[in-house]
Amino acid sequence: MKKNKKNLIGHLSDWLTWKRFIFSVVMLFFITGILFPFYWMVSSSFKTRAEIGGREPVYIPKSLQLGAYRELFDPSHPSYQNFGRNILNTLKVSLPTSIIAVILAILGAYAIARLKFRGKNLLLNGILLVYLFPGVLLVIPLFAMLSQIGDKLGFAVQDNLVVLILTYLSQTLPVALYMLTNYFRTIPDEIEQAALIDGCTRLEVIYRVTLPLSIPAIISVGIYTFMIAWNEFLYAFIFLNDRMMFTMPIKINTIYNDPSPRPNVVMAASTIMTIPIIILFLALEKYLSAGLTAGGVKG
Amino acid sequence: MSKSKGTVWKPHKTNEARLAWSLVTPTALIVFGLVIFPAIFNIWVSFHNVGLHNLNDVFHAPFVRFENYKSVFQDFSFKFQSWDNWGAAVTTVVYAFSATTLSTLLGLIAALLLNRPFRGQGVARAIFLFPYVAPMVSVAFVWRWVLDPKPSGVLNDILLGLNLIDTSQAYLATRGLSLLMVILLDAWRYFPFAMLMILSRLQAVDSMLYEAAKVDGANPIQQFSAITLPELRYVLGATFLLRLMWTFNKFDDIFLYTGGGFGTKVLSVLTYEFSFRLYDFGRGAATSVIQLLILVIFLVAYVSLVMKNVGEE
Amino acid sequence: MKKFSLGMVLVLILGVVLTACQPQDTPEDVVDSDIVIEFWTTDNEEERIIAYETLADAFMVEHPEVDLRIVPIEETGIAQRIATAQAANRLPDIIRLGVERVSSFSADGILDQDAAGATIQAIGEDDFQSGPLAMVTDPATGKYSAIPFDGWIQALWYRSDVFKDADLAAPLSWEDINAACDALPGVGDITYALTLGTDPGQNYPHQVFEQVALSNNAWPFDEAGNVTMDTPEMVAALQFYTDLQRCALPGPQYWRGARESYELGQSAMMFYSTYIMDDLVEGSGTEEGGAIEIAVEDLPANSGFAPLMEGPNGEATYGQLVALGILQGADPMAQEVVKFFMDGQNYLDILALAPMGKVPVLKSAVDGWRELSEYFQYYSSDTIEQVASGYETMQRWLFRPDYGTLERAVIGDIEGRLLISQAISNIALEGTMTPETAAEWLQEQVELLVVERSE
Repeated sequence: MKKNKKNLIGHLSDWLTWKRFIFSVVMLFFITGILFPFYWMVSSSFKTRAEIGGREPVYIPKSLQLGAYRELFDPSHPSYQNFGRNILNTLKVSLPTSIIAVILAILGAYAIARLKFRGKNLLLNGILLVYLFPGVLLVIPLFAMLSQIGDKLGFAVQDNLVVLILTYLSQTLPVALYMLTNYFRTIPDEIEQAALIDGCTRLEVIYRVTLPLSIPAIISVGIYTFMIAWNEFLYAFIFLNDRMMFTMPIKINTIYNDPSPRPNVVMAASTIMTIPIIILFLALEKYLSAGLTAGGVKG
Repeated sequence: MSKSKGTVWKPHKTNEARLAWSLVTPTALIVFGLVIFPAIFNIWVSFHNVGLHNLNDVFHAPFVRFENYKSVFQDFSFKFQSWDNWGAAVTTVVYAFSATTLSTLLGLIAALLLNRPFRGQGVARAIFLFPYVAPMVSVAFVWRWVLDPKPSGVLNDILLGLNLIDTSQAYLATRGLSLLMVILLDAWRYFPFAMLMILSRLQAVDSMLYEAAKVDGANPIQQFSAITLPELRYVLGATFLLRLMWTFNKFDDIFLYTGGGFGTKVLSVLTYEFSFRLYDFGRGAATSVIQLLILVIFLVAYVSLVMKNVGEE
Repeated sequence: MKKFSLGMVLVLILGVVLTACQPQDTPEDVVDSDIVIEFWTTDNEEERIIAYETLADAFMVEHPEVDLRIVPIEETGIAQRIATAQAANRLPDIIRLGVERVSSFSADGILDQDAAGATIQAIGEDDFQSGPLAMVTDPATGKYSAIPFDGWIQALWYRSDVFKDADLAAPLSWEDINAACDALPGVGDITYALTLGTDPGQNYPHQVFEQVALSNNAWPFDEAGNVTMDTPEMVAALQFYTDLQRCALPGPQYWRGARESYELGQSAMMFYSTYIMDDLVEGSGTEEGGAIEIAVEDLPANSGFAPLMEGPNGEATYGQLVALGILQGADPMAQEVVKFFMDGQNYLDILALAPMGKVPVLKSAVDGWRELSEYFQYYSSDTIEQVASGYETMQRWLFRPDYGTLERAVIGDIEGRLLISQAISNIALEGTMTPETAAEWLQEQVELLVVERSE
């Protein structure tokens, strides 16, 4: 009888051990620290100017003002920002980057993981060395170099989303290659050997055997490169001049530097830029951990 | 077996190598073409006098040997002057090491938290990634707002309300404090990376080891130091190294938070200043080469000392 | 299988190249018969871009062979964008820029002085006010480096209603300003007397400080060309300026903080250009009025205007001249574009975008300008006169007649490297320098700049 009639305190004291207490406290600390800025960003996008610039910070806006969002999307607003265009540009850059990066990384990772050739370890470890060079160092020489090439081959470098995609590829391929190589190495190659003996070509093997077994890792690499391209600032800032070609980060920066300060619009644009990525990671989260976990199985 | 395979499969090996190279070439081309060439070009620029007037005709720029390097070393923003004014070189090293250590530590704690299953683990795991995946521009603006020096700034408001401080502080504009803030913000943003790396390794640790230890009477702390830590040595070392490299070269973050003021001027920001405020690209290039050299020295020291001890797995 | 993967890779590359060469809806090198003129403007608010583009369209109707592209850029991004454009050998044709950049860009040789001179002649040299023309003259060559376009005066705006309540004199002299600083915090809703420019990463502190220095007759060079950053006058100016932090908004501030706190009624004074005048009216009193929301009733009527600062050793007004520069290698058609934009009603259309912040440089435009804004009526006629004749009274370190190319270039560098802003931040916010040590440090740095420019 006593067992069934415990009250809340009883249950709680049963459940609560030191371990759980510490766990809860630390977890709470993390969650609050992580979520608060995002809460601030989203809630501020709905605030009025007075709420933003007042003497006290307003934690919960009185009502959901859509003025900031209207400014971004409504053509009839006096300072219409045409943010939809920027969203499109970012998509035009991120999707191809992640698709191409995945394809090239799969091919390269397979080669390094499965095939024997001289210099492969050097390649794998060396390719990470490119991260020694910061963007600030590379950007002017790269721009100058590409302009010279562009002049000769007849394409424009500025405001050219394809060139931007190429630079993003150069930034993301090393990590993509590394991640996928590690993952492929954990897949036992007996199945592949069997398929080869059965008469499949290497590429058929990749397509039929390796890929299906590596879905988590591939998705991880895809999301990761998509995110890098989505968020990238420096190269887009240098390479894009025309407002119509701006990606979202550049546009947000422009709105921030506008002489008439409109922090709620900046927050609204930031919200729009952040939400898709967050949803993407939330939805595909299990692939991410699976993809990286298996890489850990063997070491 | 390998020997006989060697002799029998030789022709295939060459074919294999060729196939391998064709699979790898596009990646290698893009990465090395778009990174190594500009980098070499940058080193070349550092030995010449390049300004706005000859930027379109760089190859005829006058050769000035080590002039640029000399002027960087003597520059007031670069060299260590006093405990009040660390200079860009020292600031960068302090910033990179502290931020990386902190973010790795936080990542370790987060990974330990998320290791065992609990209700909402999946959601928690995803939430923990937010700081890393959100766009830097947005994050920077939000934090600048929260850390506003006026009493109406969020952090000031909270701390004043809790009576933890007397007057409102300028978090990003007080020498010393702003460097600390930037380090904390860096750890906030990048700990998920360490967490992911560590977590994936943690999940692979055999739970039997823990069972055995519990039977032997080990408490959680002993379990941690005897089992968990050794298993994590390699991934901790690798994560630290990678993040150190990236943090050392960071530009966007500091530039957006403080613009390099109040003791947070790191070498990347100084490079930007020389190149785009003074239009002295030679000096900017020299600064970035110096930055590179410092990093390489650390890398070599680190890899030969730390990584060798930990050992490849 | 090798062929397959190679083929795939080739297809990928081909695809990339093809899309690169394909005409997207991006601006590109177009058909040969079109002349492309790129016009970079720092007037980058949406309404202003639309006005520019309307004029551009009208121009293209008259000149169908020209493709005139308006490219808005941020003021802070000019340095970067010009550098990258120069590196790629793709400078724009026309750029709208402040006069201090005119000096340094022309010292760097990227401005086409002959084109500028020709354009000024075409518009009519006599129609230009003499002040602006003098400011764009290159002392080394005697030629014009750019075409004056518009400009503004800086003033200390102050809440006349609050000053009346506190029984204070208008903040015209150093003594008055100091008195206001001590008396104002706490009067009515006022928390801070003013927001001082202290951000070491912005040039606003430099601009405000220059007026303070000028009002005390403190200059960077003397007649002989020696660097004079550590004179007692300069130290006194630094002292006066940074002491004002005692009643100012905390933390690093620039024009944005100044404007916000003034509009929201938290501060009673701000250094700002006449640009603000239209905005002070537009948003006044309404919750969501226009792009600006003001928290104070009837702000313009309650705002006093003090452009002339009286210091112990002089008096000075600070202002800015904005010019259109034609860059080296620009198509001759660019001169036609500039002429078009400064012609009669077209010019007035541009000025109308912010009449208070765009003071005409052409004598013929002044009358039309007075009619441009109904907001003029909110301000006293004295104020309007001061604004209209601003070019004759404004002073800048740059414009001292006996300064040559070297001095002007170095002054451009001082502002470019934000030396003054950093010094002010060190004194006022961090306390790591005193006005004396800051002046010494500035002296040292400017001497270094002179050495570099002399090479």
